[in-house]
Amino acid sequence: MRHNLRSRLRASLAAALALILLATSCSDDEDSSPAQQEAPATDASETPEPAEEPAEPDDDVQDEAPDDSAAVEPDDVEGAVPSEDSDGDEVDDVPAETTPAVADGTPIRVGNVSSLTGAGLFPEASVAAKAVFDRVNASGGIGGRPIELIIEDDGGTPEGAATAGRKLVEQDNVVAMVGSASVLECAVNSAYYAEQGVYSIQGTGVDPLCFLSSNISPVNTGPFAGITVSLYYASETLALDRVCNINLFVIPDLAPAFDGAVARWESLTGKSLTFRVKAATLEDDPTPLMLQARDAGCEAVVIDGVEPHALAVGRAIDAQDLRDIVWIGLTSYYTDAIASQLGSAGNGLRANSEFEPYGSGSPVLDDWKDLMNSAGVPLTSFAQGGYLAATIFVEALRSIDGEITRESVAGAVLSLEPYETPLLGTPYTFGPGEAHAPNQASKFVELRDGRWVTAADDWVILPG
Amino acid sequence: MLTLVVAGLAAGGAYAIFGVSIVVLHRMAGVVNFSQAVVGAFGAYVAAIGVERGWGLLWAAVAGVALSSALSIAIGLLFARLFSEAGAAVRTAAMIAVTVGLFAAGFRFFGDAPRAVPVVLPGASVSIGGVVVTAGTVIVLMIAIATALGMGWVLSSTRVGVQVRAISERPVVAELLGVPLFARTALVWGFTGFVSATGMLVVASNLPGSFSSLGFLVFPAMAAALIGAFRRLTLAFVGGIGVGVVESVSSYRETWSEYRGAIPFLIAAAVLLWTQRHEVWDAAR
Amino acid sequence: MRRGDLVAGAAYIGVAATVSQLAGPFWLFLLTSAVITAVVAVSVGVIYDNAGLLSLCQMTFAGIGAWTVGWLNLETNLPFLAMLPFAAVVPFTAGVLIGIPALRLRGQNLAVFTLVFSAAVARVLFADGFPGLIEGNRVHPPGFADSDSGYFLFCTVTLGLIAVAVTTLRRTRTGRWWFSVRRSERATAAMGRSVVVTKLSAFAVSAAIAGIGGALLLALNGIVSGASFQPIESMTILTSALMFGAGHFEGAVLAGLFGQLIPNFLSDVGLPRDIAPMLFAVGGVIALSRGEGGLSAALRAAGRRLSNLRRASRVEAPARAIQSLPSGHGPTTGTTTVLDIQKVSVSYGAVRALDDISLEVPEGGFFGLIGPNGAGKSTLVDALSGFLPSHQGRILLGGEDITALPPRKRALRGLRRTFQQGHTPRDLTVGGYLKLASADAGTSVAEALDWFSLPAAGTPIATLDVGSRRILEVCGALISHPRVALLDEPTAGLAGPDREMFVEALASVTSRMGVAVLLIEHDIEAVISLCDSVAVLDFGQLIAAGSPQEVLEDPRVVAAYLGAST
Repeated sequence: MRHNLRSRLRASLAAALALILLATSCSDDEDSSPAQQEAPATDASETPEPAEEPAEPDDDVQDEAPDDSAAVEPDDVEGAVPSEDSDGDEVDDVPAETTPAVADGTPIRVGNVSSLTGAGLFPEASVAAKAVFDRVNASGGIGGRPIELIIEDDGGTPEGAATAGRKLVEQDNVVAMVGSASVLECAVNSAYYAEQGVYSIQGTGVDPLCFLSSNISPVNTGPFAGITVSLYYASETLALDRVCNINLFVIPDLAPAFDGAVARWESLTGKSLTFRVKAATLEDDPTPLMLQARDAGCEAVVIDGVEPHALAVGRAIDAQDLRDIVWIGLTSYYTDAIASQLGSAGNGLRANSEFEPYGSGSPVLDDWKDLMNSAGVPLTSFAQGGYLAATIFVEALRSIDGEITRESVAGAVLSLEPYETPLLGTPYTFGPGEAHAPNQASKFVELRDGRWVTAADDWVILPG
Repeated sequence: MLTLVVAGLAAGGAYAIFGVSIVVLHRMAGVVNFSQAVVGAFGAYVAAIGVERGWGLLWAAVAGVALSSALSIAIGLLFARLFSEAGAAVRTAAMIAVTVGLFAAGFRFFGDAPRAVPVVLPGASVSIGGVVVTAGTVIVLMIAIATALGMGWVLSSTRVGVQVRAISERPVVAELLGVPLFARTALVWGFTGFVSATGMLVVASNLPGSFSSLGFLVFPAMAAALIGAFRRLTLAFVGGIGVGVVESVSSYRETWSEYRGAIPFLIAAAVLLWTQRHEVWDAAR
Repeated sequence: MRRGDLVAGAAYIGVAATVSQLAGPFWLFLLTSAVITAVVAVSVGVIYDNAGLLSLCQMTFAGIGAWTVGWLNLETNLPFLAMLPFAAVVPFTAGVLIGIPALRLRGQNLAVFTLVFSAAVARVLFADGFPGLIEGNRVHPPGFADSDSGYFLFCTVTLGLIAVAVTTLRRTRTGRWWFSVRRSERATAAMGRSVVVTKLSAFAVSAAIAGIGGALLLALNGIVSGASFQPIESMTILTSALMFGAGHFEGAVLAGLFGQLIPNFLSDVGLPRDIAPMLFAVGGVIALSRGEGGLSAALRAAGRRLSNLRRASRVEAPARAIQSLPSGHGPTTGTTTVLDIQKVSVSYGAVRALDDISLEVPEGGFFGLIGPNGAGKSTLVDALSGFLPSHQGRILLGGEDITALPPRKRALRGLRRTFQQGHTPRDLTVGGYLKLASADAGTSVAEALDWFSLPAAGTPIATLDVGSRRILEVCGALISHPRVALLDEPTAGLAGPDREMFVEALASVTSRMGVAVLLIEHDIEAVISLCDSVAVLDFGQLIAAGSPQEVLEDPRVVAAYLGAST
């Protein structure tokens, strides 16, 4: 009896140890989503560490006013992103123009809630934002104060998102949230941010509340405006008559917002969908729905979903020979992993790009690419979102005269001038409104032989 | 309508293959395996990684299937060591715990990014009623039918099957019969792991292939197994196909399709209400 | 015991009040989440640890509770406290509705059915978003608790009240039946209680508790997302409840605390949060392999061992002589037949387990049923008590045909039985069990304890040895004053003087009550000394019947026994 118990215990302990060891050691090479590209530095489990290193015991931001006097010509430092009024060349001299100085003041703490573990990962936005801040810090920071980005993982769960948001606001006393990328962070935290007077420049907003909150303004288009603009592209730009929609992105809370996206297209164009169908679950086989769309005589089908759907959709188009229809996926389809995995089987599949398409080779992307490459961040749409959010936030910080506190940052965000950049089709805005969805534009990309290419160089912009 | 019926066979075949595996394992080892699909997903993902790294399709597939079988055997040994004397409820609870752990481990190892699970038999396909039925679908259906009929025959008509069944009910008897624990566990768990991984490899290539979505195939598969009352292999097969086809057909009208997610539940509930209309007593006297 | 509860309650409130004053807002938030998780864990404790049912839809019920409050908040102007009862009532009702098809199921089938149900609700109801989510319509805690510390205290007190309610319920008949059904559905039905009603009540109560948990979560965050209530969440909370043993209050609290703190701790030390479910999985498997009840049961057992050491001596069944009973057995056999068995046959496929058995058990006194192993004795008892799905022939109890009645109704008409394996629920006390069994009939528990010199009413059954449990079960069968008691090997596990004493007491009690006993026994001596007539079964056939002496001299009986024993 005793022996039996002991051997049971030994067996279970061994199993426990094995599991934990495996779990902690595995992520080095297998965690990366676009497998071949990702550098080890972006490993989700490691990112929070460097961010926390500069933490100093003194976390009271209020008594830092004297440091500002030591600031070296804050106005001379240009935003790193080429603004509309500056031509592309200026990008390269930005570092040279900046007076190299060590940012050794008390850090300005900035928060970021991202899904780094769990189902649905967005690891690039936070590291991209951090790369922007590190570059600012290397050239003197904000008036001598470095920007410290504290990244919290929400694990893709509401509890995780709520905990992360509260930790950042209450423990770390951050002045704002920048570059967060999560499937549900806005839904969970938007009301809390409003209560606490914290503002968030969201890197990748997914859930509807990202676009419906007074305190959040995402840089990305998001799935809902994404659907509207894709339908608009099909009916107006491509001038196709029989436009359809297949809804595969079935996760909690999204359905009404997708209905709203379709309704918005209907009221913008005065047209109505030829066919619309929803999947029952995220893991449904999309083939039956796609066949129905064919049978309904669709000429263009806007089909949403998460990245895995792109594979299933691409393969079904190939297997069922559905190339007569224009298939337009959501921006989640637009990844290198999908392109390489579908290869030429995916030819013709389109998707919206919420920013200047990251693979387009356009010179407006040079600064972003250089920075991401030097920081070892993979070149993805999410990295663009993080980079833009951080860049806009730096612009807002520089506009502050005096102390940098949560209140002054709020003021700066609310009075932010419309921020124009060739990376976005519509200027980024914040301001005092009840809801913010500034990015109302997309470019469209198309899969050709395992590469995404820009289908047309013009922005498709949703009217008013 | 016919389009939808045929199109539903692909998903139905997937549900059937896992449902049948679950029933086989239940009859032979006395455990309801909530991790049946997750274990298969491990194999499919390892195969996908193997292809990405250039091992070649065949070797990658072999590696994936081998990993799933090994994982399944490991779970089986864990159960044989720790829970051979435990009641059904305890074993089921333990299986749930193991499944939660496997899902978490899968997220950790693979993330939730899609993998191109290799297309095992590209090209070959048949067209029925305007729907292209891929070779994969045909193979999944064949594996499921073969498993259901073959294992049904083994369990009911062979000496081995009768022995194994006796064993699953009374583990102590097994030792008396002189069937070594390891061989028995390896045989039963390894076989179901093998079937699930093979099935998963084939179906994964036309489903939204993230780790969790593949693992969650266990829900409709469980409905199928429940329809077979965890005993009847052919009913579990029919149940799996039925759930797949009804799901597919119900997307025909938008009013129905709103409730498509509830279809496995509704079918299982109806079957249960019918089969359980008489009071049945627990096995222990 | 009750005093201990009061002290524990005061300590609980004291700790909560202190924490609410000392902890910062972030920690209060974490701890409030932990308390809410503990509420759901309590619901798992009720359904799994008390009633022994595996439910994989507890988070779904929490979601239904939250959905209800969210909807009310959007549609009405009710304050939170007025909405909270709905968060219990609606899941309770849902639990009843789901329970009706599900609760004929047990173990794995129930687990699977509830899992499929939770997937369906998540996909159909929760996928459309919670009411008020899009509208930004937040749910606020009641005004007096609308602060971090206030809401923490509110949730803590709610958890405490739920714990008190559950503890109280466990001491009522309803709660005791849960333990009984967990131990054995057959034994429960054999005591005249509906198994379905018992399971349904546990399921619905646990659903109501989980629903309150969901409403509390909603008011903590203002809004909730369907992502919190997915099937995998129900599986995870079940796993951590198993690990910590949510059947006890402290286990539920530990499950809540660790469920919230471990992921936070992991991300603080730079490890990924999603290791936490793996830890719970490993812990759950270890806990299950070490016996039921998880960590909290292990802690309690350790505590008991400590206090037993201190007390030095343990409760032993006092070896009192049985008093106030006439010695020997009373020749009370009546002439009327109380149990009339007419041509009962049972077949399993080609095997005939019972072949055309007809017996008349007379009123009062002992009727012995003997036979070698596998003769069909227990099958006959199963047929008589109604546990066989089908058999041929008729069974009359006091002239009434009970062939078609389920076990419960037979028990209510005065036919009780015991089981060879012994089915007394280990989680109850001796007195609690007898109260269930008595069905409020004449004999008081104290009196019944005296019959067989059983230990005091407050003694937990878990501390009894096998023999005493066996006696207790017999006592339970007799306490309701049945007309017929079917005793299946009641002396198994008893030896020497205990056995003699028990046999003597049994004779005296039954003769005084006038209950007829159908006694299945291996102990031939006991049969001879007790029974007025004996029937012998072999291979499903009735091979002899008559007085003990006649029967034992019958050559066929001798052959059957010799054949079997060599």
